[in-house]
Amino acid sequence: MRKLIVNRTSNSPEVHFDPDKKRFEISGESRPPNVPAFYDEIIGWVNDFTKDLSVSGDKKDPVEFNLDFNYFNSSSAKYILDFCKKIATLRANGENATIRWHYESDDLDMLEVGKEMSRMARIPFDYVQKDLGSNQE
Amino acid sequence: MTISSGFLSYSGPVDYSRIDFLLNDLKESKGFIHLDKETGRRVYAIVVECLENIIKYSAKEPAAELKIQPRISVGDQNGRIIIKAGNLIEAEKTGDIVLNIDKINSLDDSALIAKLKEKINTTRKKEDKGAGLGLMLIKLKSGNNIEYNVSSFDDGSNYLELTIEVNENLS
Repeated sequence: MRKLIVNRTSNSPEVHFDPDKKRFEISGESRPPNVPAFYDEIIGWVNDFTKDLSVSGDKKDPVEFNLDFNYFNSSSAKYILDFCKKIATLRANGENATIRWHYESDDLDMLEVGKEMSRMARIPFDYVQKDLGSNQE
Repeated sequence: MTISSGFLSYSGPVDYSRIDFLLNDLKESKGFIHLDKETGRRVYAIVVECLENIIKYSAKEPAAELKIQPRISVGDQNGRIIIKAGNLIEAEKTGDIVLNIDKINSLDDSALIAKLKEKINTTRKKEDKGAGLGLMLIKLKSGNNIEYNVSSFDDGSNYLELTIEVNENLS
């Protein structure tokens, strides 16, 4: 399965999807000039990853997707939700896939947005407070 | 009443690279540095949406003789943070934008959040320029209605200026 590595810029997050190292992470600020193009690449990778898992039939390894945004704009929100829905579908198909939603301890807006995303995508998130540990809802 | 421009004051063309510069200026401004973090995050989010709306909704070919550039300012007025953003828009789009702002202003927070979730949850379309999501977020993040003023010009374009007052420490 191919990797997807996208470097962080001033307005777009780092994307690090590496199946070999079992690292799946989007981190940083999301307000890219072309939001659809940026997230279509990510969604496309998830589609390929889903197909690859279904072909290999290996559903043992847990797959943790870490979403660690410090900010995302309104245009990105729809695409981040689409991404979460894709992971929810993976999970519904029997894969051991989870989403870890990172937020700064004093950023309650980001925590609340994560809870709404979890409800709308219908997948439980692990909430990771950056400096105090994590808990699951 | 004078508004201190201790945060950001800019008039000129806006594109995505200019947005990066302006946000950097905002973050490094004395006024912004002294805000509590939560209010700072909200001001930042509102300024991003305002600047992106300027790109999305600006008249494509404003009359050269008008030479009215987009403007954005963030300042402090008697302890309240005031964000002003203005740009030329095409006359035929003005009605829809103003109607959208009026609709958003008419909703209370719970109704607005429900509408926002509905919009985010609907199937995305490439031609969709945001479906007013940015304006909804501006109202929610500020805690106040979006005030606006439209000035009309003979060439058919209008200048739309938004004024957003940001409450500190919303929860």
